[in-house]
Amino acid sequence: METGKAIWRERRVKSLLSSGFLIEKAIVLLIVVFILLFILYPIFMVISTSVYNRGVLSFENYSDLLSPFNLGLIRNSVFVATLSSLLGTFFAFCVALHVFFQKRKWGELIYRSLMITMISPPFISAIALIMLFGRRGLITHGILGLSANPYGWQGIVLLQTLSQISLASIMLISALNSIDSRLIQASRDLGANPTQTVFRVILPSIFPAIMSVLFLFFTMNMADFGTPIIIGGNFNVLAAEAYLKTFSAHDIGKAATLSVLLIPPAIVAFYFYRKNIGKINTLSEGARVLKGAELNFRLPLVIKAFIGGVTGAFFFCMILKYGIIFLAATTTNVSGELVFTWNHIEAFHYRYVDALYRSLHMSIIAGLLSSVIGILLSYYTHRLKLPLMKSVEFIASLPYIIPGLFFGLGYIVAFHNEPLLLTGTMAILVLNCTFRHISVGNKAANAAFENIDSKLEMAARDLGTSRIGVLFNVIFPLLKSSFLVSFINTFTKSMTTVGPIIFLATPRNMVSSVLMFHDITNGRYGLGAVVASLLIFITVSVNLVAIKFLSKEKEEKPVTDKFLGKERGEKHVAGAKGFN
Amino acid sequence: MLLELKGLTKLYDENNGARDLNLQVSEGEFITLLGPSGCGKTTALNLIGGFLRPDRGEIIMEGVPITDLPPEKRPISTVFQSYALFPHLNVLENIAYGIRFYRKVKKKEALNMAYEYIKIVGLEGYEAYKVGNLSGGQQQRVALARAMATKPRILLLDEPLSNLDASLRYRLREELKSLQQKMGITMIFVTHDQSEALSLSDRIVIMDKGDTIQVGTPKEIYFSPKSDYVASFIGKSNIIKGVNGERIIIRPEDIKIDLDDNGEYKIESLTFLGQQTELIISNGDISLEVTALGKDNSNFKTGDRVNATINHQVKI
Repeated sequence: METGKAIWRERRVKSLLSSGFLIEKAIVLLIVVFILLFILYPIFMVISTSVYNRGVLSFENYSDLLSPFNLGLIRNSVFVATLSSLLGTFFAFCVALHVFFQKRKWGELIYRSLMITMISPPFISAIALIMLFGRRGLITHGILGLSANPYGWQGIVLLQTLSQISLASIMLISALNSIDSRLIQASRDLGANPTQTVFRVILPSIFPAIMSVLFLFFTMNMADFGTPIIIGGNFNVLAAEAYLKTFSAHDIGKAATLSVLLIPPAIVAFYFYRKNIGKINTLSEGARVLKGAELNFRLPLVIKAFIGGVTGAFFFCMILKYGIIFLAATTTNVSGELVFTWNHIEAFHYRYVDALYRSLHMSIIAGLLSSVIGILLSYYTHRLKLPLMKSVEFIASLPYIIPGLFFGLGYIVAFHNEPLLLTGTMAILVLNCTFRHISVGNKAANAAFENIDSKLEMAARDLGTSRIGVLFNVIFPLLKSSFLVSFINTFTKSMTTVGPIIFLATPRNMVSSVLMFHDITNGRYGLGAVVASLLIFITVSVNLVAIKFLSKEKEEKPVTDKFLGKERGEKHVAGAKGFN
Repeated sequence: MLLELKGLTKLYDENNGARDLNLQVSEGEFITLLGPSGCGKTTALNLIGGFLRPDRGEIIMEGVPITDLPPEKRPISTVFQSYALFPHLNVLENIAYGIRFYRKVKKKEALNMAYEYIKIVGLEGYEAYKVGNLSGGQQQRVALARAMATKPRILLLDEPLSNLDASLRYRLREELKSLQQKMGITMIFVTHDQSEALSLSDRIVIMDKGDTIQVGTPKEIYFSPKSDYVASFIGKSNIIKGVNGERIIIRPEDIKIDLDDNGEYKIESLTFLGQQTELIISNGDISLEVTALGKDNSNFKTGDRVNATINHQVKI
């Protein structure tokens, strides 16, 4: 029998020789270098491009902004973005309130539907709008016999408002669910009726969430160039101009300046978002807390009917949208009559097979990479508490804050020269998607770690696992669901994203979402609808499988209940950005 | 009768909720609902407060049924577990909340009136504090002041002392008792702590798995428990079979032992706890737990033979 002394002697020799320590150092170094190179450097390059004119420091680009033409653009952008985000937030609040006070089954069904309607490539609603209300629209022309014009700011506001309601509702629902329900009880107990309670307690409690939603969507709407280009007509906005400047005029300095302008509202959104998350984290632990639906809480009929009506109208629009898109994919308009056709699907077959394959390829690799790096970043920052890692983690969260257009521009200016010549390759697309979504995996892991006793790692070390062994034997198995959440999020966003990669996808490395955007802007709505349907089908199926898997995990491990909820919140917030 | 509960029932499932709760509360009484977690005491409180609708049963206040009234219309206020203070309001605004909405007083006047209650709970100088910056004990006082400020006919307290450390808990318990006596407020108090229940209550309601097991004064509950469950939940007890098969409950402190080399019992084990010594004695047939007080009783040793005198016992 081996004595304890002998085992110890052997172990001591082995650990001196072990290469685990070096491997770990190398991993940390690699993460830090990657984050600096693929996040901080491109951001820095956009800002520097905006203040350098042909190699000379100059603020010409900024002073140009004050020209009457540019001021008009800014005014248009602010007007549209303000209106859509106010409307979107208001309607989302109605939907969220409606769901919050629903019976569990029905509320759950609406929540799931919101999650599904959230997954959709941006601006494809424009197809439905044009099909229904355009010059040859089914309703305006076909039924009413009018030649209406949907192009203009009204169209932009309508589409932006509709497109943000799903995500905004989900964010507000998680905020509502995080209210300590005893506050609501206390308010009633102290004599406030349900309506007073909504205004005096519920609204103030989720105020940070509302502000975060408002500014997030303000940023997204400011940065949205797709909708205005397709549906804006003569109404021009800042982001669309930045896009056109880069795309047709190749004036990257101007585009960089315009996109720098989008940063301040993004920072405000982030500030409120952090505040909100902080509040959720410190929510007092108590005995069993009643859910909204279990509270004996009766809103006046008028309010109830109104929020129910808003929810119903929203889902009616969503059904209409998907219905029309599927219809558009299989029909063609022959002098006002819809006729079934295979043409779009055949055209898709010729034009899209390679692009779709590249999309999948890019999204899967980006999903894997961003999840692994995100989790490792969390581990080294919060578990091992390595010095300076907090700053690195902050840098990693930047792509999550800044508009996609900005991040995409950064990659063009940063990686078009030797030795980092990446333009036109698959690598630049994969890297862009990976680092854009890295903070989702990072935050999911942070939340998971909060619920995992740090003594577990101590125990593993105590029982003889090396530092690197702990990672593989303890950390990764425990973070399976964080990994999945992160992977699905990055995969979905990468499949449907346009904003950040529109300048990076050239004919050599074209992916389907970008190609679809070009087809729709060129009026090939039928073809666009086929691609949109397929992208929706792929991403929704993948998400449904993942949701199923996650809820199964959740049943097995009730302890993780809380962190799944939190992850979900994070996931949706992050999800917003891919849509720019 | 101030408050009457008649067959009040709210069940989540077979073992969760409150079943057929009957209780009569008179003016000025201090009633405690006592039981382990999940026994239904908080459900009972939520029913009385109006936060839950009962499946069956009635709540009657001074002869008027209030079962269908929402919480804001009931003359009942709650001090919540972990207090549920509004984080977006300061101390004074929290206390004024109920004055504004329940007593329908204009904001400015309500804030003035709230000062009264600041004084009652001794928080002068903290009016403008954010509730997040207060200690647990101070939050407790704010919660109490806020609930009292509506001038409720009944104050409900849901484990209000459970989040405090031991010495603070003891102090606030005393304060609560004297406040109740001074103001004459009727209180229904929920706890799982037997010493809180015994020291504060006029009457105690013992609950288990949703059922009401026994209602009585602290002395009745302690000295005449109706069942094994009550006997073992409050204090320690020896439960032995009597000659006719009845069950006899003997409290460990009601057994006196004396050293005697020919004694019937042998000391199996003992634990010295300072003010008392706990022993287990056995005569081969039955073993008994004995609590012996004071220094004179601390000199027994394991294996000593003793005689036991039983001073009190209860048959159930």
